[in-house]
Amino acid sequence: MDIESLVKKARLGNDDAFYELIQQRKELLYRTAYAYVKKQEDALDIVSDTVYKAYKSLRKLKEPAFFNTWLTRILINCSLDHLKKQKRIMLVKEIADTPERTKDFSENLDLRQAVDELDDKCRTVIILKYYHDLTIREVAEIMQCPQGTIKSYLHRALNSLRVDLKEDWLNA
Amino acid sequence: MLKDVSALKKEFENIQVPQELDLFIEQAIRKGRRFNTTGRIFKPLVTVASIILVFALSISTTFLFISKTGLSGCVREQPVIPDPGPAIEEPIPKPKPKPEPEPRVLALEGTDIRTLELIPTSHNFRVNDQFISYYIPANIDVLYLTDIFGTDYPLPKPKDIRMPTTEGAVWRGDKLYYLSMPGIDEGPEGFFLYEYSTATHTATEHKLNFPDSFYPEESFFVTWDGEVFFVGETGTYKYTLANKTLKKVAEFNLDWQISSWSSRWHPEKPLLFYFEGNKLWCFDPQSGKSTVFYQAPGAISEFCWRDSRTLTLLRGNQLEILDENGRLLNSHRICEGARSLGWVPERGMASYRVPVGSNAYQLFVEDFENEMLYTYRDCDDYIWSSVNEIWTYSEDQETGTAILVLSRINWEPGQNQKVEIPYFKSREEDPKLPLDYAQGDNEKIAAELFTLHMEDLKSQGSITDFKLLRVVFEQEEQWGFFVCIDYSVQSSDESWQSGNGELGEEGWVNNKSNFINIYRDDDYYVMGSQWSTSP
Repeated sequence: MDIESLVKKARLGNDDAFYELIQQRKELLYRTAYAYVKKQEDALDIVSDTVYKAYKSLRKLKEPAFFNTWLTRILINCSLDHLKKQKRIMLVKEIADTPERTKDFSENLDLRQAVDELDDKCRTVIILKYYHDLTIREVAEIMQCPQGTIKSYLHRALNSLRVDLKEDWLNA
Repeated sequence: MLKDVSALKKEFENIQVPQELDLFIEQAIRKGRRFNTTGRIFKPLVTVASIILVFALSISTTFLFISKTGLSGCVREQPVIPDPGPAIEEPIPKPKPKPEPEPRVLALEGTDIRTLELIPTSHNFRVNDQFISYYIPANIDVLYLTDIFGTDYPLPKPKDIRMPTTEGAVWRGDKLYYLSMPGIDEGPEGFFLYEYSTATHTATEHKLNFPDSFYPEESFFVTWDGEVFFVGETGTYKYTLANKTLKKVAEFNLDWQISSWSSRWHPEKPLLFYFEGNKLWCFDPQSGKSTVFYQAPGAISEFCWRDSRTLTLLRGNQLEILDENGRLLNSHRICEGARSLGWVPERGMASYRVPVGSNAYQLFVEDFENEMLYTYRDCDDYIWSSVNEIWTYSEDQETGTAILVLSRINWEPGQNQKVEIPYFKSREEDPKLPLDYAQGDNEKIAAELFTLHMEDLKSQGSITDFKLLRVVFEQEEQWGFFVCIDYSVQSSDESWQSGNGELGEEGWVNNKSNFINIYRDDDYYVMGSQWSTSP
């Protein structure tokens, strides 16, 4: 059954339809959450939170065809909220616990770690564009920004990754 | 450490999904259900409480009133029943004949973006990003390929055959597949399948050595895995593109006539659907068997796939929507004489043409959910390329002209939406290249235009030198495309140090990156705006 029919049924209270909608996206949801938080239990919490919020507010979704876009947006917001909370907790411990960066930072830095170093918006663009294989237009829909802004984020992100890695990895 | 984007993607796909995920999802749904249930109980309780309060107040007012005027002044009111809200496990609504409300009618506005002049009698349009394929009737139909800018691309054909193609061309990604067979009175005998790539504008030719006992129908199916199914009256053959092998997969004697107007392939599977009278059949070419998919209460006049899981058909002025198993999901009454059924992508809106004069048909778009009927232009054919964009084809019998127009739809008319018309006209001084440059290789075109631009700056003395490091194609657009260009530049002008890049020796700024728009006008590729952001 197509997404629109499932959403319509789910909105009428059909839990099986909602469950099926989530089943179709669950792995992508989990991996995306994991890409943000890097911890299994946190990623599971984020997916759970996302599913709960989606279930609660499904009636607010105006256009059933945009369910996946809408769901991804909820997941991203949950992930970023989670990171913000985590940062506040980390702040106290950070100075004492974080090892000092070495000068040959770039030589040891993994690409994925470099992605983690990006700011929230740039990282989200990279995740959506390269992990989810979305077009700039689709990324713009999820992030609710103009395409030009997304291009700027993307450029900034790619540029930062190159700067960090000191490698022309995109050309490899 | 050298890594590329595919490594990033691979890492993402390798993230292990724990088994507990399903448990977490189920718990979240249960939690959500509790929330909704609580909300649904609480809301009626509030309603009941309000009613009691209102009732109490009205009683006291009534007592006051009766004490002054007597019982004749008292009017009995109907009891108010609080709305309990929808049930949690509401059954799926079954299609039922209901009096259809009259939809609100609104004239739809469209802003024209492109107008292409075609040969009259063009038909069977297919749109794939920038490219449009269509047919012109001849003694057998001829396939044409043009792009959004009106450039025609000649499609390769076998030697000595004038009429290269049969109806039934298929787009898969950026490839157009078409079958070529000799026309009437033409030789030599033989069938060829072409795999035309719009990325390179070249085609791979596949000679199909069918036995004499087999003659393929015009329509064929290409799977995403590169297998092509050909159906004839005596059986089915499967051709594998990768290893160029042809194999018979079924033998039968077809007892129905395949015609282009009454049959459609499933969007994803090699299954051919067709209608006869009030029955919609599903034919499996691999077994040679047909099964009744749906039996309508009256004669079917046409059908189309809304997506891979929903099929829609017209039966008189009834539009019926079926699921993938042939179950009727919904039925709507639409205008009399409707034809050319289609769907607006990503929206639950059907589109169809309705006769409005002796030879004229107007396009209607109907939003069943919101009970809206949009009227659009007269046209002879149409195709949606996205939720907001439509191609309409119209022929003018008097002037003998035919035009294909791409328009952007304003779904909220009268609100003065800003519509950006992506049309570009180059200036004299712009660096430009002819449209046949590098056979449409976008990265080569961008590299050459950028080089021309930088050489120009060099000759003016604005820069001393430059190095083009890399060009990456990013995306097609209606006005052309854009690329990301990495380069280094040597200049005494410090403005080159702003934005991204790393300061090097002798005035070099290394590893700068810019996104560059490459526009097309009627004759040239033109370098447009450059933009970059700070690192």
